[in-house]
Amino acid sequence: MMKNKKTVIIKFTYLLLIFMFLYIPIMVLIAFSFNQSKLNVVWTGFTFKWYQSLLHNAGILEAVKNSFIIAIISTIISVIIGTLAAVGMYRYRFKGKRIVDTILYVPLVIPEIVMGISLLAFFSIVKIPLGRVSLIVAHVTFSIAYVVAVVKTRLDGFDKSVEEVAMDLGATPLKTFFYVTLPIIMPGVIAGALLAFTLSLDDVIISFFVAGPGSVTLPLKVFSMVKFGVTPEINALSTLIILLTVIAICFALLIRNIHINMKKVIVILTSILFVFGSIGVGIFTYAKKNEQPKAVLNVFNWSEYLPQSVIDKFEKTYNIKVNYSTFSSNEEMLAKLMAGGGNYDLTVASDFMVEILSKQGLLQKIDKSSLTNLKNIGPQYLNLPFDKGNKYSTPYMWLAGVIAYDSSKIPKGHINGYKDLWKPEFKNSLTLLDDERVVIGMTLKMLGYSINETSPEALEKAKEALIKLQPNIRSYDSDSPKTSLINGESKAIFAWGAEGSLASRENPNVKYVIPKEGLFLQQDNFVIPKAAKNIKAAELFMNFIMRPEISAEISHSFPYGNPNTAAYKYIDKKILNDKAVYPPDDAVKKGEYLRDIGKSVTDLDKIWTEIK
Amino acid sequence: MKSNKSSNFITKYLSSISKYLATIMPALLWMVIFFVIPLLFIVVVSFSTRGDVGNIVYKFTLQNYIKLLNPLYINIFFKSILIALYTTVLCLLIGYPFAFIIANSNKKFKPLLLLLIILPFWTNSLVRTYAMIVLLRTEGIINTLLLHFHIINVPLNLMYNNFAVMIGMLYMMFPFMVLPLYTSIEKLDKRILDAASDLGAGPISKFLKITLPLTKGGIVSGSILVFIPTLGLFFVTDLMGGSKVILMSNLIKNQFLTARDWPFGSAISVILILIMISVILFSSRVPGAKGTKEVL
Repeated sequence: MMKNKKTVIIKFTYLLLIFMFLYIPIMVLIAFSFNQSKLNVVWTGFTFKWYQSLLHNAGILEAVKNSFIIAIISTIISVIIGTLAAVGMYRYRFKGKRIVDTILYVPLVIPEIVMGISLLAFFSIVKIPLGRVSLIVAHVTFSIAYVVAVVKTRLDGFDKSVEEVAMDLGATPLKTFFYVTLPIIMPGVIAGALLAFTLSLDDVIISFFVAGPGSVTLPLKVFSMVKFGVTPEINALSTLIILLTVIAICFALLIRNIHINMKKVIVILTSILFVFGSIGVGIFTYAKKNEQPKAVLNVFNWSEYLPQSVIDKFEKTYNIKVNYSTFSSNEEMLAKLMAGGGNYDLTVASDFMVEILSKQGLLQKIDKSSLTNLKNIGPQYLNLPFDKGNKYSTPYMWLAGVIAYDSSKIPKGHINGYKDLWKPEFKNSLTLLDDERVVIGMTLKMLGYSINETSPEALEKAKEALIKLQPNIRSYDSDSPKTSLINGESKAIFAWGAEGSLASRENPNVKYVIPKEGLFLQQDNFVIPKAAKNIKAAELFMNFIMRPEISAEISHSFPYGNPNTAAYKYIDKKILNDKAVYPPDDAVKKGEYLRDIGKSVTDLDKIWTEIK
Repeated sequence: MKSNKSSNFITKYLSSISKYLATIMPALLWMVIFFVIPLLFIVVVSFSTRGDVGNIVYKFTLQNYIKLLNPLYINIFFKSILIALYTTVLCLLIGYPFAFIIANSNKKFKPLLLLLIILPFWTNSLVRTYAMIVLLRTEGIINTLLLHFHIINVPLNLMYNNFAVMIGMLYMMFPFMVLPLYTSIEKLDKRILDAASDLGAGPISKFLKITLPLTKGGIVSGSILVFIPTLGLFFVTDLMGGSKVILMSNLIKNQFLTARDWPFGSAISVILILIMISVILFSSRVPGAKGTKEVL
């Protein structure tokens, strides 16, 4: 008896520990949904505002709706197909069983990006439009493998005589399957369904490639926020989802009087999903109630880079519906366009990417006669080396790389330029952008070369310098380097000015320096892809964004350098005086933009692989 | 009656073929159309050449495969496999007792416990990883608590190292191990264990001689479900490990994105797929040997 009690306690403690491991991060996440600060980094105060703004964020709500619809449908399809296949594979022997078995397993193996690109290429060849259907197809494809694997585990050692008995007693094969086989393998089917649902709900990379305009899912939305910070609205949303699920479970338990079995779990699950789905649809239809617009404009951009209010104004002014889809890096956007994806009318590309896109023939020439507001842009932002004469692009925002540091840990004057990052005093305390062009470019600049230098001697020197830099690196992070500076993980970061500016708002100790070797500049631009359908609307949008008051509105929302000099009179002085965002003119003149370096990028990639 | 039985036999035979077709075909067709055929594109690209602007030039070459023989890349490959292996073993060691307790718990609570395992995973993985960082960082919750109660005097270095990567991986992959284990332990016939006890077997020999062999299927499929996706999971090593190492998945991603060397990226993928297929074929022999006999 004593021994029995002891084992119960041990078992209980073990379960408790594991559930703590699973749930403590969730609690942290819930706590941060009530955090004042816009960044998921340090606690600054209690607020409900993220829940409020979540309910008004049509973009996130639509993503939730899409995610749940896709997850539910793809789970149902993959569970049916997968369970049948697992039963068939277990029961029958046939030629080529090994091959079928392997085909069913390989999707687990494949790097997601490969599956995403190959599916995208396939869809564009057979002309399946990108959207919910393509997303469901992709999700079913990777889910089947998981369902088969889990259901097979359940079948392994399944007593076939039970089925035979049922048949002998006169049950039809179909009846036998539903009344005998299925109930026995049910735990496996449910486990498979849970995995499939979870995978679908959280998939990013494959979804990115097969999503079309207007079919953004929640993970895509979240990942596209990384350049500018994932907002606590996402935490608020996660909290609501968890809360609703818990309520649904409790409710189900009460109704069933704490007596639920596997069959009922399905009922509960489907009802949970149904409730989510209908709530999502309900909120969504409530959030946007407008008349049927005439035309559609498909915009492809980073998330948190263009305020919703500007899009709303554009929709109202021109009665054009804007479908806003998001990406999380220039390279992802390029890969998607290269594989033939999406009928985007307008996309945003950084300087070197404009050059690559135009060289690959993926861009349309712009009709400049329709861009009357181009005159508002300062001349220093036009006619830049990556697009002479602005044949393909119009400036949107620009950024400069600064070194931001924690002044409570690093005395003033210890860092003046890139060279100082090599000092031994910064051992294991730096965070740099996780970008080979930026880090190698910075090193080249430190050595006195151009950031676009490609000569083997220069690259060799840069490589040696970078190997010496490694002990000082705490982390590489291109998503949100500011985070590690704010939370004290690193003492200094090399990142875009906006990151430095945001970090100093969170942590007053954060100061920044303009590197004396010369600035690292980046300009993001609007371009029209070759496959665009609605070029007219795209040009209207470009022109609209360059209106001074609209441009100022963007600057008030996001801390990036505005090339629209005519807008300056509408922008707060405080914003314009932020030296991280608007560095002094002479520093900008010494600065450089990244250029496309053609084949040499593979040399850089090799160096990057070697030093890491 | 008699003639009925013999015709029954024939229809049974026919229906067994049709059943086999009906069960396997949907999955097979789906996979061939939406997986194998698209994959051929990658195979073709892997034998092509990178154009000057990063486009694909369809000129046959073996260069991409030869390039892979560089020790630099072979090294990366071993590092990735090692991390995936550690993750799998860790998940198995922690997940097995967990699945075992749940599978043997009161029937009323089983579905609830199962839901509780999966519930955290309905939250976006990036957001969850951020929460993990809040806990682990130098000035984070764990360190603050430990310092407060004077358990430690200097904050522990919990972030951006192998420990953080392992914790992150364990957190991401845990249900993929537990669910297959649960399904196989749950169906274990308790009477066998009782019989063994009656015959004088101790708990350890019962576990080693009965429980473990009978749940091998769950162990194998759980391990595959953890091991293989771990090879492709780069954002955990990036966020928790500070992107200081390049793994297979980073390498492939870099080829498709930053380096725009799709042919090389495709070649790495093809090799990865081939190696994984051989792992699967090897592992399917383990429980399969017994399974096929039963079917026969």
